[in-house]
Amino acid sequence: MANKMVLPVKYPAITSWQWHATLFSILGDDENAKRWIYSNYIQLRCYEIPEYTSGDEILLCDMMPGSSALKECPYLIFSLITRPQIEAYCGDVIAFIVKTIDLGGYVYGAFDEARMICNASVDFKFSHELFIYGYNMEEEVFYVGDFTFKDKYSYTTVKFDDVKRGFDNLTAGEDHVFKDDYKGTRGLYVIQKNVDSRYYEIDTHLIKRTIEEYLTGKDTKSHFRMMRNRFDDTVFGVNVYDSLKARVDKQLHAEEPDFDIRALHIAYDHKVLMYDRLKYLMANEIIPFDQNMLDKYAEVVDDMLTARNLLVRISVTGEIEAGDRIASYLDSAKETEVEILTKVAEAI
Amino acid sequence: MEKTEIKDKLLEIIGEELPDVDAASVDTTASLADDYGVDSVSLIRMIVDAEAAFDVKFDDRELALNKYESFDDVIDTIEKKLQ
Repeated sequence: MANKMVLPVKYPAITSWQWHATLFSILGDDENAKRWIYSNYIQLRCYEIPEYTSGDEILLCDMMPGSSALKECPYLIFSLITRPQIEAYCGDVIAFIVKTIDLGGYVYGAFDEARMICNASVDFKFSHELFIYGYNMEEEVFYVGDFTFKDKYSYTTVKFDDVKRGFDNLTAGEDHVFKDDYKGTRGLYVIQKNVDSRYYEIDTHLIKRTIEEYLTGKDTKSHFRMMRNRFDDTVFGVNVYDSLKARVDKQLHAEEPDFDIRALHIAYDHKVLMYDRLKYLMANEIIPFDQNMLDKYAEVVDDMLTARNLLVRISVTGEIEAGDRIASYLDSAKETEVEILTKVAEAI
Repeated sequence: MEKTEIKDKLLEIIGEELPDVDAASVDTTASLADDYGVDSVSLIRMIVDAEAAFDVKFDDRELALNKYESFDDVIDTIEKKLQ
Protein backbone atom coordinates (compact mmCIF):
# COMPACT_ATOMS: atom_id res chain seq x y z
CA MET A 1 0.00 0.00 0.00
CA ALA A 2 1.37 3.39 -0.97
CA ASN A 3 1.00 6.51 1.15
CA LYS A 4 -0.71 8.23 -1.73
CA MET A 5 -2.08 6.94 -5.01
CA VAL A 6 -3.98 9.02 -7.55
CA LEU A 7 -5.14 7.41 -10.79
CA PRO A 8 -5.13 9.61 -13.89
CA VAL A 9 -8.22 11.70 -14.65
CA LYS A 10 -8.94 14.50 -17.07
CA TYR A 11 -11.67 17.08 -16.45
CA PRO A 12 -14.51 15.74 -18.61
CA ALA A 13 -15.93 17.39 -21.72
CA ILE A 14 -19.33 16.03 -20.69
CA THR A 15 -20.53 16.71 -17.15
CA SER A 16 -24.31 16.38 -17.41
CA TRP A 17 -24.65 13.13 -15.52
CA GLN A 18 -22.23 11.47 -13.15
CA TRP A 19 -21.88 8.36 -15.37
CA HIS A 20 -20.77 10.48 -18.32
CA ALA A 21 -18.46 12.63 -16.18
CA THR A 22 -16.90 9.42 -14.82
CA LEU A 23 -16.36 7.76 -18.20
CA PHE A 24 -14.95 10.90 -19.77
CA SER A 25 -12.76 11.54 -16.70
CA ILE A 26 -11.17 8.12 -17.09
CA LEU A 27 -10.87 7.96 -20.86
CA GLY A 28 -10.16 11.66 -21.40
CA ASP A 29 -8.43 12.27 -24.69
CA ASP A 30 -7.37 8.68 -25.32
CA GLU A 31 -7.13 8.19 -29.08
CA ASN A 32 -8.36 4.58 -28.97
CA ALA A 33 -11.34 5.46 -26.80
CA LYS A 34 -12.32 8.29 -29.16
CA ARG A 35 -13.12 5.68 -31.82
CA TRP A 36 -15.82 4.28 -29.57
CA ILE A 37 -16.96 7.62 -28.11
CA TYR A 38 -17.51 9.27 -31.48
CA SER A 39 -19.30 6.19 -32.82
CA ASN A 40 -21.74 6.51 -29.92
CA TYR A 41 -23.49 9.30 -27.95
CA ILE A 42 -25.33 10.37 -31.13
CA GLN A 43 -28.89 9.54 -30.21
CA LEU A 44 -30.68 11.70 -27.64
CA ARG A 45 -33.74 10.52 -25.72
CA CYS A 46 -35.98 11.65 -22.90
CA TYR A 47 -38.90 10.53 -20.79
CA GLU A 48 -40.76 11.75 -17.73
CA ILE A 49 -40.01 9.95 -14.50
CA PRO A 50 -40.30 10.64 -10.77
CA GLU A 51 -36.93 11.73 -9.41
CA TYR A 52 -35.60 9.06 -7.03
CA THR A 53 -34.59 11.58 -4.36
CA SER A 54 -37.73 13.73 -4.20
CA GLY A 55 -40.45 11.89 -6.12
CA ASP A 56 -41.01 15.05 -8.20
CA GLU A 57 -41.61 14.47 -11.89
CA ILE A 58 -38.62 15.38 -14.06
CA LEU A 59 -37.82 15.12 -17.74
CA LEU A 60 -34.93 12.68 -17.78
CA CYS A 61 -32.92 13.48 -20.86
CA ASP A 62 -29.79 11.58 -21.83
CA MET A 63 -27.65 10.45 -24.70
CA MET A 64 -27.31 6.84 -25.79
CA PRO A 65 -25.58 5.03 -24.22
CA GLY A 66 -26.42 6.34 -20.77
CA SER A 67 -25.20 4.89 -17.49
CA SER A 68 -24.75 1.44 -19.05
CA ALA A 69 -21.68 2.80 -20.88
CA LEU A 70 -19.59 2.21 -17.75
CA LYS A 71 -20.35 -1.50 -18.12
CA GLU A 72 -20.35 -1.78 -21.87
CA CYS A 73 -17.60 0.51 -23.16
CA PRO A 74 -14.91 -1.71 -24.71
CA TYR A 75 -12.19 0.58 -23.36
CA LEU A 76 -13.18 -0.07 -19.74
CA ILE A 77 -13.05 -3.29 -17.72
CA PHE A 78 -16.03 -3.39 -15.40
CA SER A 79 -16.56 -5.47 -12.25
CA LEU A 80 -19.57 -5.44 -10.00
CA ILE A 81 -18.81 -6.07 -6.33
CA THR A 82 -21.59 -6.57 -3.79
CA ARG A 83 -21.42 -5.33 -0.23
CA PRO A 84 -21.07 -8.86 1.22
CA GLN A 85 -18.10 -9.39 -1.12
CA ILE A 86 -16.53 -6.10 0.00
CA GLU A 87 -16.88 -7.06 3.65
CA ALA A 88 -15.66 -10.63 3.11
CA TYR A 89 -12.62 -9.59 1.05
CA CYS A 90 -11.49 -6.51 2.98
CA GLY A 91 -13.47 -6.04 6.17
CA ASP A 92 -14.73 -2.59 5.33
CA VAL A 93 -15.30 -0.23 2.45
CA ILE A 94 -12.27 2.01 3.11
CA ALA A 95 -9.81 -0.88 2.87
CA PHE A 96 -11.62 -2.15 -0.21
CA ILE A 97 -11.39 1.20 -2.03
CA VAL A 98 -7.70 1.63 -1.14
CA LYS A 99 -6.82 -1.87 -2.38
CA THR A 100 -8.85 -1.34 -5.54
CA ILE A 101 -7.02 1.90 -6.33
CA ASP A 102 -3.67 0.18 -5.64
CA LEU A 103 -4.64 -2.31 -8.35
CA GLY A 104 -5.47 0.47 -10.82
CA GLY A 105 -9.23 0.35 -10.32
CA TYR A 106 -11.50 3.36 -10.13
CA VAL A 107 -14.51 3.04 -7.79
CA TYR A 108 -18.06 4.17 -8.55
CA GLY A 109 -21.29 3.71 -6.64
CA ALA A 110 -24.13 5.20 -4.63
CA PHE A 111 -23.42 6.92 -1.32
CA ASP A 112 -25.65 8.93 1.03
CA GLU A 113 -24.02 12.25 0.26
CA ALA A 114 -26.32 14.13 2.66
CA ARG A 115 -24.71 12.16 5.47
CA MET A 116 -21.27 12.76 4.00
CA ILE A 117 -21.75 16.53 4.06
CA CYS A 118 -23.45 16.71 7.44
CA ASN A 119 -22.91 14.09 10.11
CA ALA A 120 -26.16 14.82 11.87
CA SER A 121 -28.96 12.39 12.44
CA VAL A 122 -31.54 13.42 9.85
CA ASP A 123 -34.24 11.50 8.01
CA PHE A 124 -33.28 12.88 4.61
CA LYS A 125 -30.93 10.79 2.51
CA PHE A 126 -29.35 11.86 -0.75
CA SER A 127 -28.29 8.80 -2.67
CA HIS A 128 -25.86 9.92 -5.33
CA GLU A 129 -23.08 8.34 -7.35
CA LEU A 130 -19.54 9.06 -6.18
CA PHE A 131 -16.49 8.54 -8.40
CA ILE A 132 -13.29 7.76 -6.46
CA TYR A 133 -9.91 7.85 -8.17
CA GLY A 134 -7.28 8.17 -5.44
CA TYR A 135 -6.36 8.24 -1.78
CA ASN A 136 -3.92 9.85 0.66
CA MET A 137 -3.29 7.73 3.76
CA GLU A 138 -1.59 10.51 5.71
CA GLU A 139 -4.48 12.93 5.28
CA GLU A 140 -7.05 10.10 5.32
CA VAL A 141 -8.85 11.38 2.24
CA PHE A 142 -10.12 9.98 -1.04
CA TYR A 143 -9.88 11.92 -4.29
CA VAL A 144 -13.34 12.10 -5.82
CA GLY A 145 -15.23 13.57 -8.74
CA ASP A 146 -18.76 14.77 -8.00
CA PHE A 147 -21.32 17.57 -8.27
CA THR A 148 -22.34 17.63 -4.62
CA PHE A 149 -19.36 19.08 -2.78
CA LYS A 150 -19.03 22.21 -4.91
CA ASP A 151 -21.55 23.94 -7.15
CA LYS A 152 -20.42 22.16 -10.31
CA TYR A 153 -18.67 18.95 -11.30
CA SER A 154 -15.36 19.10 -9.47
CA TYR A 155 -12.44 17.02 -8.37
CA THR A 156 -12.00 17.33 -4.63
CA THR A 157 -11.18 15.29 -1.52
CA VAL A 158 -13.43 13.74 1.10
CA LYS A 159 -12.45 12.17 4.40
CA PHE A 160 -12.28 8.38 4.71
CA ASP A 161 -14.82 8.52 7.55
CA ASP A 162 -17.29 10.53 5.46
CA VAL A 163 -17.07 8.02 2.62
CA LYS A 164 -17.58 5.11 5.01
CA ARG A 165 -20.57 6.84 6.59
CA GLY A 166 -22.06 7.61 3.18
CA PHE A 167 -21.65 4.00 2.12
CA ASP A 168 -22.90 2.43 5.34
CA ASN A 169 -25.95 4.69 5.53
CA LEU A 170 -27.60 3.41 2.33
CA THR A 171 -29.54 0.17 2.37
CA ALA A 172 -29.81 -2.13 -0.62
CA GLY A 173 -33.19 -0.71 -1.62
CA GLU A 174 -31.81 2.84 -1.49
CA ASP A 175 -28.85 2.10 -3.78
CA HIS A 176 -30.37 3.39 -7.01
CA VAL A 177 -27.33 2.29 -9.02
CA PHE A 178 -27.84 -1.33 -8.08
CA LYS A 179 -31.49 -1.76 -7.24
CA ASP A 180 -33.00 -1.70 -10.73
CA ASP A 181 -30.54 -3.93 -12.50
CA TYR A 182 -29.25 -6.18 -9.73
CA LYS A 183 -32.34 -7.24 -7.85
CA GLY A 184 -32.00 -5.02 -4.84
CA THR A 185 -28.39 -5.72 -3.96
CA ARG A 186 -25.95 -3.08 -2.70
CA GLY A 187 -22.41 -2.61 -3.88
CA LEU A 188 -19.85 -0.77 -5.96
CA TYR A 189 -18.51 -0.79 -9.48
CA VAL A 190 -14.80 -1.29 -10.04
CA ILE A 191 -13.66 0.18 -13.36
CA GLN A 192 -10.27 -0.20 -15.02
CA LYS A 193 -8.88 1.40 -18.14
CA ASN A 194 -8.45 -0.90 -21.10
CA VAL A 195 -6.98 1.31 -23.79
CA ASP A 196 -3.72 -0.33 -24.85
CA SER A 197 -5.17 -2.00 -27.93
CA ARG A 198 -7.70 -0.94 -30.54
CA TYR A 199 -10.68 -2.97 -29.41
CA TYR A 200 -13.12 -0.87 -31.42
CA GLU A 201 -12.78 0.92 -34.75
CA ILE A 202 -14.63 4.08 -35.66
CA ASP A 203 -17.95 2.71 -36.94
CA THR A 204 -19.17 4.77 -39.89
CA HIS A 205 -22.13 2.45 -40.47
CA LEU A 206 -23.31 2.96 -36.88
CA ILE A 207 -22.73 6.72 -37.04
CA LYS A 208 -24.73 7.09 -40.26
CA ARG A 209 -27.56 4.87 -39.04
CA THR A 210 -27.80 6.62 -35.67
CA ILE A 211 -27.76 10.10 -37.21
CA GLU A 212 -30.62 8.99 -39.47
CA GLU A 213 -32.48 7.66 -36.44
CA TYR A 214 -31.78 10.93 -34.63
CA LEU A 215 -33.18 12.95 -37.54
CA THR A 216 -36.34 10.84 -37.80
CA GLY A 217 -36.85 10.43 -34.05
CA LYS A 218 -36.72 6.65 -34.41
CA ASP A 219 -36.74 4.38 -31.35
CA THR A 220 -33.06 3.46 -31.11
CA LYS A 221 -33.74 1.54 -27.90
CA SER A 222 -35.59 -1.06 -29.96
CA HIS A 223 -32.19 -2.42 -31.04
CA PHE A 224 -31.55 -3.46 -27.44
CA ARG A 225 -34.91 -4.97 -26.48
CA MET A 226 -33.26 -8.37 -25.91
CA MET A 227 -31.53 -6.81 -22.86
CA ARG A 228 -33.83 -4.02 -21.69
CA ASN A 229 -37.45 -3.14 -22.41
CA ARG A 230 -38.63 -1.30 -19.33
CA PHE A 231 -39.75 1.99 -20.85
CA ASP A 232 -41.92 2.52 -23.91
CA ASP A 233 -42.66 6.20 -23.35
CA THR A 234 -39.33 7.53 -24.60
CA VAL A 235 -38.98 10.39 -27.10
CA PHE A 236 -35.98 10.24 -29.44
CA GLY A 237 -33.78 12.44 -31.55
CA VAL A 238 -34.95 15.81 -32.82
CA ASN A 239 -38.34 15.23 -31.18
CA VAL A 240 -36.54 15.86 -27.87
CA TYR A 241 -36.58 19.57 -28.76
CA ASP A 242 -40.39 19.55 -28.52
CA SER A 243 -40.24 17.73 -25.18
CA LEU A 244 -37.75 20.30 -23.88
CA LYS A 245 -40.00 23.18 -24.93
CA ALA A 246 -43.03 21.57 -23.32
CA ARG A 247 -41.04 20.84 -20.16
CA VAL A 248 -39.67 24.37 -19.81
CA ASP A 249 -43.16 25.80 -20.32
CA LYS A 250 -44.60 23.41 -17.73
CA GLN A 251 -41.93 24.04 -15.11
CA LEU A 252 -42.01 27.83 -15.48
CA HIS A 253 -45.80 28.01 -15.30
CA ALA A 254 -46.24 25.63 -12.39
CA GLU A 255 -47.80 27.04 -9.23
CA GLU A 256 -44.31 26.95 -7.76
CA PRO A 257 -41.97 27.42 -10.76
CA ASP A 258 -39.16 24.92 -11.07
CA PHE A 259 -35.82 25.92 -12.59
CA ASP A 260 -34.23 22.51 -13.09
CA ILE A 261 -31.74 23.00 -15.96
CA ARG A 262 -30.55 19.39 -16.26
CA ALA A 263 -32.51 18.45 -19.38
CA LEU A 264 -31.31 21.57 -21.20
CA HIS A 265 -27.77 20.96 -19.99
CA ILE A 266 -27.55 17.41 -21.35
CA ALA A 267 -28.96 18.66 -24.67
CA TYR A 268 -26.20 21.29 -24.68
CA ASP A 269 -23.56 18.64 -23.91
CA HIS A 270 -24.95 16.59 -26.80
CA LYS A 271 -24.26 19.52 -29.16
CA VAL A 272 -20.75 20.04 -27.75
CA LEU A 273 -19.94 16.40 -28.38
CA MET A 274 -21.53 16.44 -31.84
CA TYR A 275 -19.41 19.45 -32.78
CA ASP A 276 -16.27 17.59 -31.64
CA ARG A 277 -17.46 14.53 -33.57
CA LEU A 278 -17.82 16.54 -36.79
CA LYS A 279 -14.25 17.84 -36.38
CA TYR A 280 -13.03 14.28 -35.74
CA LEU A 281 -14.83 12.89 -38.79
CA MET A 282 -13.35 15.66 -40.93
CA ALA A 283 -9.83 15.24 -39.51
CA ASN A 284 -10.01 11.51 -40.28
CA GLU A 285 -11.39 12.14 -43.78
CA ILE A 286 -14.63 10.28 -43.10
CA ILE A 287 -16.48 13.36 -44.31
CA PRO A 288 -14.93 16.21 -46.31
CA PHE A 289 -13.57 19.19 -44.40
CA ASP A 290 -16.15 21.97 -44.43
CA GLN A 291 -15.49 25.05 -42.30
CA ASN A 292 -18.92 26.46 -43.11
CA MET A 293 -20.52 23.32 -41.70
CA LEU A 294 -18.50 23.66 -38.49
CA ASP A 295 -19.40 27.31 -38.18
CA LYS A 296 -23.09 26.56 -38.65
CA TYR A 297 -22.99 23.78 -36.09
CA ALA A 298 -21.24 26.12 -33.66
CA GLU A 299 -24.43 28.22 -33.89
CA VAL A 300 -26.42 25.18 -32.73
CA VAL A 301 -24.08 24.81 -29.75
CA ASP A 302 -24.48 28.50 -28.98
CA ASP A 303 -28.28 28.36 -29.23
CA MET A 304 -28.41 25.48 -26.74
CA LEU A 305 -26.00 27.19 -24.35
CA THR A 306 -28.05 30.37 -24.55
CA ALA A 307 -31.28 28.47 -23.87
CA ARG A 308 -29.74 26.83 -20.79
CA ASN A 309 -28.25 30.07 -19.51
CA LEU A 310 -31.52 31.89 -20.00
CA LEU A 311 -33.25 29.38 -17.73
CA VAL A 312 -30.57 30.06 -15.10
CA ARG A 313 -31.17 33.78 -15.52
CA ILE A 314 -34.93 33.32 -15.10
CA SER A 315 -34.24 31.39 -11.89
CA VAL A 316 -32.42 34.48 -10.57
CA THR A 317 -34.73 37.22 -11.86
CA GLY A 318 -38.09 35.45 -11.88
CA GLU A 319 -38.86 36.86 -15.36
CA ILE A 320 -41.04 33.91 -16.36
CA GLU A 321 -42.11 35.58 -19.64
CA ALA A 322 -38.51 35.24 -20.90
CA GLY A 323 -39.24 31.51 -21.23
CA ASP A 324 -40.66 32.24 -24.69
CA ARG A 325 -37.14 33.13 -25.83
CA ILE A 326 -35.90 29.71 -24.68
CA ALA A 327 -38.42 28.15 -27.08
CA SER A 328 -37.16 30.31 -29.95
CA TYR A 329 -33.51 29.30 -29.29
CA LEU A 330 -34.56 25.64 -29.30
CA ASP A 331 -36.46 26.10 -32.59
CA SER A 332 -33.43 27.78 -34.14
CA ALA A 333 -31.07 25.03 -32.94
CA LYS A 334 -33.37 22.32 -34.28
CA GLU A 335 -33.70 23.86 -37.72
CA THR A 336 -29.96 24.36 -38.19
CA GLU A 337 -29.04 20.99 -36.73
CA VAL A 338 -31.44 19.09 -39.00
CA GLU A 339 -29.97 20.88 -42.03
CA ILE A 340 -26.38 20.03 -41.06
CA LEU A 341 -26.83 16.45 -39.85
CA THR A 342 -28.81 15.61 -42.99
CA LYS A 343 -25.74 16.63 -44.99
CA VAL A 344 -23.44 14.66 -42.66
CA ALA A 345 -25.51 11.48 -43.01
CA GLU A 346 -25.46 11.87 -46.81
CA ALA A 347 -21.69 12.43 -46.80
CA ILE A 348 -20.81 9.30 -44.78
CA MET B 1 -18.63 56.49 -15.75
CA GLU B 2 -14.87 55.98 -15.36
CA LYS B 3 -13.49 52.49 -15.76
CA THR B 4 -12.10 52.52 -12.20
CA GLU B 5 -15.58 53.31 -10.91
CA ILE B 6 -17.01 50.37 -12.88
CA LYS B 7 -14.28 48.15 -11.47
CA ASP B 8 -14.96 49.21 -7.87
CA LYS B 9 -18.69 48.59 -8.22
CA LEU B 10 -18.09 45.22 -9.84
CA LEU B 11 -15.73 44.23 -7.02
CA GLU B 12 -18.55 44.95 -4.57
CA ILE B 13 -20.78 42.60 -6.56
CA ILE B 14 -18.02 39.97 -6.65
CA GLY B 15 -17.79 40.22 -2.87
CA GLU B 16 -21.52 39.54 -2.57
CA GLU B 17 -21.84 36.78 -5.15
CA LEU B 18 -18.53 34.98 -4.57
CA PRO B 19 -18.20 34.78 -0.79
CA ASP B 20 -15.06 32.62 -1.05
CA VAL B 21 -13.25 35.35 -2.99
CA ASP B 22 -11.54 38.26 -1.21
CA ALA B 23 -12.78 41.10 -3.42
CA ALA B 24 -10.08 43.47 -2.13
CA SER B 25 -7.32 41.31 -3.58
CA VAL B 26 -8.95 40.27 -6.85
CA ASP B 27 -6.69 40.33 -9.91
CA THR B 28 -9.10 41.44 -12.62
CA THR B 29 -6.77 40.12 -15.34
CA ALA B 30 -6.73 36.56 -13.95
CA SER B 31 -8.89 33.74 -15.28
CA LEU B 32 -12.48 33.85 -14.05
CA ALA B 33 -12.98 30.11 -14.06
CA ASP B 34 -9.51 28.78 -13.26
CA ASP B 35 -8.39 31.33 -10.66
CA TYR B 36 -11.67 32.31 -9.03
CA GLY B 37 -13.92 29.29 -9.64
CA VAL B 38 -16.56 31.32 -11.42
CA ASP B 39 -19.11 29.00 -13.08
CA SER B 40 -22.09 29.68 -15.33
CA VAL B 41 -24.48 30.16 -12.44
CA SER B 42 -22.28 32.53 -10.42
CA LEU B 43 -21.47 34.55 -13.57
CA ILE B 44 -25.16 34.97 -14.37
CA ARG B 45 -25.88 36.07 -10.79
CA MET B 46 -23.11 38.67 -11.12
CA ILE B 47 -24.48 39.86 -14.44
CA VAL B 48 -28.00 40.26 -13.05
CA ASP B 49 -26.58 42.29 -10.15
CA ALA B 50 -24.47 44.36 -12.56
CA GLU B 51 -27.51 45.12 -14.72
CA ALA B 52 -29.21 46.64 -11.68
CA ALA B 53 -26.11 48.45 -10.45
CA PHE B 54 -25.18 50.02 -13.81
CA ASP B 55 -28.66 50.22 -15.36
CA VAL B 56 -27.53 48.23 -18.40
CA LYS B 57 -28.87 45.13 -20.13
CA PHE B 58 -26.86 42.05 -21.17
CA ASP B 59 -28.39 40.16 -24.06
CA ASP B 60 -29.04 36.43 -23.77
CA ARG B 61 -25.87 35.42 -25.61
CA GLU B 62 -23.76 37.57 -23.30
CA LEU B 63 -24.63 35.28 -20.38
CA ALA B 64 -22.11 32.63 -21.47
CA LEU B 65 -19.02 32.08 -19.36
CA ASN B 66 -16.93 31.44 -22.48
CA LYS B 67 -17.42 35.08 -23.53
CA TYR B 68 -15.21 36.28 -20.66
CA GLU B 69 -11.64 35.30 -19.86
CA SER B 70 -11.29 37.64 -16.89
CA PHE B 71 -13.21 40.19 -14.80
CA ASP B 72 -11.64 42.83 -17.04
CA ASP B 73 -13.68 41.44 -19.94
CA VAL B 74 -16.85 41.89 -17.88
CA ILE B 75 -15.76 45.44 -17.03
CA ASP B 76 -15.10 46.18 -20.72
CA THR B 77 -18.54 44.88 -21.66
CA ILE B 78 -20.21 47.11 -19.08
CA GLU B 79 -18.12 50.10 -20.18
CA LYS B 80 -19.24 49.64 -23.81
CA LYS B 81 -22.86 49.46 -22.73
CA LEU B 82 -22.50 52.72 -20.80
CA GLN B 83 -21.01 54.62 -23.75
